Amino acid sequence: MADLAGANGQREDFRVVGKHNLPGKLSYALATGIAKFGIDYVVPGMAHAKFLRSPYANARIRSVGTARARAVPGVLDIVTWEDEDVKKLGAGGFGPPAAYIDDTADMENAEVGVVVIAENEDICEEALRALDVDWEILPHVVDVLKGRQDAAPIARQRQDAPSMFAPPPSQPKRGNVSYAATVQGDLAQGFKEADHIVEYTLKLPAFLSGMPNPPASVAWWESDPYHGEGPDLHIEGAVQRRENVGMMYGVPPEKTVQTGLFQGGRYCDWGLRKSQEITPLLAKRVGRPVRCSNTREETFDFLMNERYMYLKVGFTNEGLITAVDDFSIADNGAYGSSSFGAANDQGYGPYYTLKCKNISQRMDVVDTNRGKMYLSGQHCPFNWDSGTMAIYLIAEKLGLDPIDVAKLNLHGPDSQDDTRPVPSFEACMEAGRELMGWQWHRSGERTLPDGRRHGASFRYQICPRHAFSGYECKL
Amino acid sequence: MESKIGAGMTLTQEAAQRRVADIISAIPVVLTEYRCPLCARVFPGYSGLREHYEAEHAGAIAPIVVMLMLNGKGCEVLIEPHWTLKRTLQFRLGLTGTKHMCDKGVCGSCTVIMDGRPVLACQILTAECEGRDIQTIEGIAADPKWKPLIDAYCRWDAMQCGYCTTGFLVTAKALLDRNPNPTERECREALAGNICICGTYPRHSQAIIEAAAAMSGGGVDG
Repeated sequence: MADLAGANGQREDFRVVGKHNLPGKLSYALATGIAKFGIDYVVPGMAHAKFLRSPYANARIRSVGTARARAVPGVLDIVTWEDEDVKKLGAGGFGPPAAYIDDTADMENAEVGVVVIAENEDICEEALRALDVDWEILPHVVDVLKGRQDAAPIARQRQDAPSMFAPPPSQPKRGNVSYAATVQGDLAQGFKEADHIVEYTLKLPAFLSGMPNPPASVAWWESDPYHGEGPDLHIEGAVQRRENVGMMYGVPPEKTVQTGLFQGGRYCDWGLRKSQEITPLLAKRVGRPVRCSNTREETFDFLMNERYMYLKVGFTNEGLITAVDDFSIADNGAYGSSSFGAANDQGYGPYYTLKCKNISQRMDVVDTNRGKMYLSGQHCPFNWDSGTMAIYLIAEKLGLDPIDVAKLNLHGPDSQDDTRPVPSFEACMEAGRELMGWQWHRSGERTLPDGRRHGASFRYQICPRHAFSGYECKL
Repeated sequence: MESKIGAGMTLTQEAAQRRVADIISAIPVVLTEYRCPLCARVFPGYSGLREHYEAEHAGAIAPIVVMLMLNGKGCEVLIEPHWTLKRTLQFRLGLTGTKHMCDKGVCGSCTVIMDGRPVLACQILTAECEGRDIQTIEGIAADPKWKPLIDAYCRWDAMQCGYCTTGFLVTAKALLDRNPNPTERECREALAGNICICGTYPRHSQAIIEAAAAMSGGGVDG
């Protein structure tokens, strides 16, 4: 055992370390049904709210008549984008400053224009059906490659402001397409030094974030001297981001109260939905707690947008990568999509885990009306998908274990010039190899006893979402 | 406004068991007020609500009173005729352990046991549940007999985000009711209608088999 310095020293009587099958702190709350998620909250006197949602992929509301909807028994209030309350409410979450809701929808099912508050959800839906909406239907883009063409209709009626994370674009936006490029080193020289060159294309389809608990919140206003003067905002269902909601309403963190702990399954998706942000405004208007919940269909958001990739990799007989030429076309989705996974991802230094410095990575990022992504990452770092494929292709070509290829190409802990191994990475890999009984062989060399092929993959950028990735790959 | 209802911060099996027992006991057996779902007016008796409907909401379908047998306890509940059992459990009875996920009978998160069979509460009208014996996760968790199952799920950490967990547990309980010593294959077959995006599937069989051993007097390695 290592001679650890510090309080633990040679201690061996840990209560948790080295033990298996220990309940987590919240396990009993989850297993017994006590745990409450945003959608579970029901409070006395609660009203319900629902958004008007666009039946079109790209549309604008010319006008909306609310008189018939207001006359539906049980309707408490109807809010439109023209209300001063709404105009004052800036959009939370991702994207540049913008109206919280307005007259424009650039994807099907987007919240647009109107929110109805009523005694229950059925009445909300009846009132929404009673709205007299005059839609201006606009041409749309739901095919990334067609959206990239010069003649394509413009997908977004609102343009993104520069992201605080994004580097300047490599060239001006044209039509729906933003451009990004990260180039370093001497690509031509890198390919000259290579003993082998492989090229391939890879298509990564969009896939759904698929959170199991539909996003929802319940909010109300109350006074509690414990938190000081003025009203407190109590909101349930905005776990981790209650302070962001408080900020939308000018409420300081100490007066934004939330007792719930459980946020459910969210993988690389931290964006609040409008249903989680609107309830404080509505609760203030009707003087009652208000609940707003998405259905599962209304949460059909991308965890990862569609992407087409082309990669050309040069490498030596030892498996050392000498040059990478990477080009991809990525779906930028509708307005308000997370800026992660788009042009700015280049700024995170794709491939910076490699010793190789001859790298070109270019990406065309195409606005579409297909959907929205709340947070993810498509390229950072070491281009997870195409980079991992490169390792496998090198391994197949040279008959090397892909883990060894990855280790050979990973630079040391200090810089890209550092050729030393990374101790923690080496230790993890060895432990993993032993645990799995990892014995790599070329594809198709062996089969299971019943003749079936089998597969196990290695990648050193691990993320649960990749378990759901589907690939179409042309080698 | 009551705010303590939300936290759900319960660290031990005993505390959780007490809490779910409290939730069940807080459900009134007899209705004492009848709230109009259209205008929120409250009436002391059902006849008053009916008369109000005839006078104020002519043509609308009035709510009905249904007697449910939930977790061994009879209780009156005022619902609209189209309400699902899932909706009634959450919005009338405060039983939020039955989860709303797909609302289409696909995911298993709203599983309850009705007359001994696991069924999907999002697909059943409450009006059809009168006189049926219904068990929810709260009833199972409050029953000391099922402590080994709850314990095993927690020991095996057969959950990640935890949203679908109760649906799995209710299905597991129904399995053990009819088969006290299931094999792994039988566990998998029984749980085939429950979906977990976190991918906790292997742990469920392990937990159920361990619980089965504990409940039949076998030891638990730990």
